[in-house]
Amino acid sequence: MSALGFAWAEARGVAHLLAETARAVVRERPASRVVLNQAFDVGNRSVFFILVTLGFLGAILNFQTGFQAQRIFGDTSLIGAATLPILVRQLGPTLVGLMVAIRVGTGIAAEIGSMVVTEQVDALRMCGAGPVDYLVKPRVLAGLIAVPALWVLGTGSAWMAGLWVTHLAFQTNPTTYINLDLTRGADVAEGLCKAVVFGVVIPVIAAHSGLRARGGSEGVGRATTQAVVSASLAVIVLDLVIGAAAFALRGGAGA
Amino acid sequence: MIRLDRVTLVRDGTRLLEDVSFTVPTGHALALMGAGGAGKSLILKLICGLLRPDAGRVFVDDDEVSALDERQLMAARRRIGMVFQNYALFDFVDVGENVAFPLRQWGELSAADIEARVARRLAQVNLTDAARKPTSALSGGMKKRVCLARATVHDPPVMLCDDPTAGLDPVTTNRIFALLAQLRAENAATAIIVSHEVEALRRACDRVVLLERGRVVYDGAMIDAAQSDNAGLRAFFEAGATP
Amino acid sequence: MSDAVARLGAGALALAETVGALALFTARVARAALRPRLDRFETWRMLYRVGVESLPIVATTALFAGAIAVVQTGANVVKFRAYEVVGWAFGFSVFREIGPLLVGLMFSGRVGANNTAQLSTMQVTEQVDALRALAIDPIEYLVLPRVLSMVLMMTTLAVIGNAFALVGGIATSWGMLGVDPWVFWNSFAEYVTLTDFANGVVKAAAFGLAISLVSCHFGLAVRGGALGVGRAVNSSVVASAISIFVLDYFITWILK
Repeated sequence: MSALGFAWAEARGVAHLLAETARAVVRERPASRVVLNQAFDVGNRSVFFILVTLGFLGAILNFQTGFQAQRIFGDTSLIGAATLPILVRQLGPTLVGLMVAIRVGTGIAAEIGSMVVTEQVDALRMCGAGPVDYLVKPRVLAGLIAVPALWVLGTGSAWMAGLWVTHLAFQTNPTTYINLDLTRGADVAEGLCKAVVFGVVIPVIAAHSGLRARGGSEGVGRATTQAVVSASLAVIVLDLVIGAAAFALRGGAGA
Repeated sequence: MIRLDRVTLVRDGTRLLEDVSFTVPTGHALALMGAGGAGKSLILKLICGLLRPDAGRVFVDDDEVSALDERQLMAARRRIGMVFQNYALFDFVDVGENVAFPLRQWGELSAADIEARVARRLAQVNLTDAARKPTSALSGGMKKRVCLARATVHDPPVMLCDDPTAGLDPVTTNRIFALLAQLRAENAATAIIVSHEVEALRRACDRVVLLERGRVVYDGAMIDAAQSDNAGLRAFFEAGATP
Repeated sequence: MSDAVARLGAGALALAETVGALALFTARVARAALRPRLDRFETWRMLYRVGVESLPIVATTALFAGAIAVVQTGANVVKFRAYEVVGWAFGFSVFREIGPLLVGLMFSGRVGANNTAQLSTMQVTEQVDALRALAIDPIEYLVLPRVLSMVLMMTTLAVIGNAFALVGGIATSWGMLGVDPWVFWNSFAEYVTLTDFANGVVKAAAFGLAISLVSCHFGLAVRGGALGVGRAVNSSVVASAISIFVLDYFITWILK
């Protein structure tokens, strides 16, 4: 099946670029200030988008859960407690990951892709700036810092939206909603791990697509589309892998 | 010295370059002519290692460019200046920074030295006032001049120019060629110029190679070329001759 | 400080401008849809292409989504010995929420982005102007077939996606929680209602409409060369994602 073959070739290319980037980081770590600046840039570009989408997600999640709970148990007091861990370790990181894949992934692929088709990348190589060193490395490091930060902000936004929605729809007392009992360190660890992994993988995938752009505007269009699809799929797959690993580490089905 | 030895380039089953061999002696300028798609830009990219040949070898002075890896190529490229066909100016920095870019990357000169060199080059190409402008604010001729400045700011002994006057009006074309000659004279650089401006090439270059569909069909001195009975060459010279 | 306020204001203005432009575009499409003169061949071709393009990725995503849903709720299921409820909980959350949402986001990435890329390339190379010069309305010729096929496909894919998610869920709950597929299926069939299913389908259709309108708009509104195309795709997927979430919220609220 050619779709599978394509996916496999893509995965190999991305893995190769990831390895090259890691080597570049070990060889020469850029100044902390430069990295922080870029991380701030990345975060800034996406923060509004993340707050809005995750906010709506939190509202939907709590509304849906509350509605079902009311229908079945007639009691919505545990909503806040129950939805928070899911938000922290699952829906938060996954949806932040997907949103970052969408916003930052297409952004990086568009930038690098258009530089490739206008021969700026060739010119960079002529001036002694390798594309991995100059273009990919800073973006990956920025993602490493920015995405976990966005995860915190996004999860917070979803949580707050949930508070607002449950209060409006089910008259739930905010103090009842704010319940950290069911949320444990392991949940936070799982969420953070996912956020870090996404922060590295998404820029690499997007840069990989951008660097392979060929042929004018059409090439850039194709590169950006490929970037968002591959990055989104990677988020879903890695989500399952990390989630399953965390499940197993927590003691699995025998807990 | 630039030497191509039986270079072949294949892409998607098409033989883009077939058995190409020629030499440009040190200090000389070669005019690389041919119809569109004949492979001229590809040869320039092969010489600076942006492409690898599928067969044959490419030499720049003592380096076998076709056999170097990317790290070694970085060092080799310091001796080459490339003027790209579509400018390839960096749109994320202003004009001055574009010209300073290679010097900053290689980090061998002090900031003051870099400023001085950039200022000198910009003055030479008559763009001192444009130093802080974004590249998008420039006309085609100005962009080409920035290109020239960036390609020569590090005084390379080898210059590669891919269609330096494409789409420019006749007056600007002459200016660009004059600049090219001036910059080349500074350190007796070896040069290859790809162009359709036959008259200008005749004045600027002392050797000529004609490419036809990826093959060399003529290779000789410019003075001999005018009297040659090579059909392809005659066609080019006649078409490009001023009436 | 005033700089930050100025930027905030500029951002708000840009947002208002985009929303306004989208609304106008939607109105134009709606007007053209009243008396549709659809190129039948073009529409079928688009349906086929959209479906074939997105099926592998939607199926894969749905499969993984089903697995994820089970893994995430697994601990609670085991803790409360709620094995019988797994099928039901899975069913309603996937059919109503996770299914349409994830399929929508993937569809936006795969088809929406591609759509914007194609239309913006056409716009940048003046092909759209050429159509107009031939007295062909780009909205009728380019946009309507795409909107129609994307809405139809999105709805179909949501249903197919549900099936794949179900498979992923059953397999994972069997493999990781030891829940017998029959137990899963029984609780699923007994408690999951047609309303849950219909809910998801309505959402899917709405998402399809939003994605198609947004992607066509940004494609045709592109300015600038290669970088413009990249930016158009970027804006398109971002706006689609926001629309999906906003619509999701309001439909959930309305259809309760």
